[in-house]
Amino acid sequence: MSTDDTGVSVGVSSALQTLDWFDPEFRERTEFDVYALARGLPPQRSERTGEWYFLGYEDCREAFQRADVLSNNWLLGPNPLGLSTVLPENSDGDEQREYRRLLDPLFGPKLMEDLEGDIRDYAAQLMRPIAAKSHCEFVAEFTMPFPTIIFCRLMGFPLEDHPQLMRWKDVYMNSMTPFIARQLGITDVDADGRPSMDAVRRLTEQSAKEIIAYLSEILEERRRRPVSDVISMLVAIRRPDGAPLSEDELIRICFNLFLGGLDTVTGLLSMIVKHFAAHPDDRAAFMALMDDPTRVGPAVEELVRFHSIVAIPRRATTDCVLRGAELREDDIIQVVTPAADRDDARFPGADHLDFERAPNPHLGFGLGLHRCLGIHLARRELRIGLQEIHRMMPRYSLDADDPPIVGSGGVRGLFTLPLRVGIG
Amino acid sequence: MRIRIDSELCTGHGLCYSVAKTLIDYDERGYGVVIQPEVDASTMDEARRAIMSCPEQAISIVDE
Repeated sequence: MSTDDTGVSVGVSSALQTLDWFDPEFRERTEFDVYALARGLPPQRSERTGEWYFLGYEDCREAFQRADVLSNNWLLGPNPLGLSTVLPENSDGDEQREYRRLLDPLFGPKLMEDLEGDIRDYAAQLMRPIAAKSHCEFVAEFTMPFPTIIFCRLMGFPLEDHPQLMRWKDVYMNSMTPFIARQLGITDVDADGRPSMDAVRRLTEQSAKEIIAYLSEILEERRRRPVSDVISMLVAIRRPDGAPLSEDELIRICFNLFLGGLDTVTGLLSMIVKHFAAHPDDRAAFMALMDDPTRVGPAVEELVRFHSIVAIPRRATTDCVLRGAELREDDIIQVVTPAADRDDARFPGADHLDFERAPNPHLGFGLGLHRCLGIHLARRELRIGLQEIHRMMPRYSLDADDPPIVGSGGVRGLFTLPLRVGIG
Repeated sequence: MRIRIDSELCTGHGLCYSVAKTLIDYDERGYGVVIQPEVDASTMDEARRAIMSCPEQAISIVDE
């Protein structure tokens, strides 16, 4: 199998001095090439932000399993946008366990199986016009709308609302980047097109009001007349004492689902297709097994490992030493799963795709109690999405005159993926 | 030989039941449930695959 294309190579020491995972400039400069920062490096502290970066597999694994000293409520730290906590992501301890007990069944394997047909239909509908053309922009035409339409279907939002949902999502996840700031029409920008913190904050606050109004309305509708969507199931939840979830809790939960399920799948699908565009041998290997139910699952897991997309924050609740890092109370740690999942010590030949890799204990969906709530949905979207993409568009390649634009927002991915269709 | 899932460690990744369908099923939360605890020669491969698959290392075979 072939290796991943490494992007801009950054000297490790210079990158570490200015390391700031959430700075779009860092991402644009490194193209998220954090693999250069892995290879068994111990926890590193950014001189610029004071944040810790856990990079090695065992370090990241440990961080995920140390809820006793690491809290998920990192918003008690620096919070320049004044973001509110979401649930269950920002909760800890018994409270978090209770939320997961109540919410896991809504996204469990049994219920997600019911979506199989719809997910396939949406994928095919999106691919039909693409397969008939000679060029496409695959992010705008497939990887962005695909999870968003499914999200609407699952939650019970009107499908035609999906462009508005994409816009709100971009405000939260990506509005600090010049590319998205331009799309959103932010005018308070510097010479490089970067929006001011003030402009981003104002837009975020405005969007929060709009989202809350939108959610409140549909929550009320489903209380009056429940159907079989997730919003109806959320308002039907009862705690052991018989109490429903509060309006505030329901809004925070919906925010979590909204932020968790869109750019993640978009980012993964974009990166996978970009890799397959440039590496037809890997694409052929995937296509050879994608209709075999015993082999496609492990292949999807390997693709998640290879393209792991998020750094997960934690906040130290006490002074402690963790894997050699001398943490102070309130220190923020970034658990960099894209680096951990390329750690050769855990994954021999980590820079190679091996669809038969076993064991494959990657951290792409996290580990421990906060393991990705949408894991069963995500796997299904990835499998079906990739099946339909390759069934309808088996041949494609990158466009040398129009290269992809690497995403520099909240999650690894691409802002654009121009493809030549039918060639390659 | 019996296969067991440590419920303190299981967080419902769901990889085990897709590789060991004879031995393990899932509950409504997606957590693994052992449906056939006895492991014999015909299911030893499945049991090994299940143990290997778990990122939380929650699965083991015990001599009983």
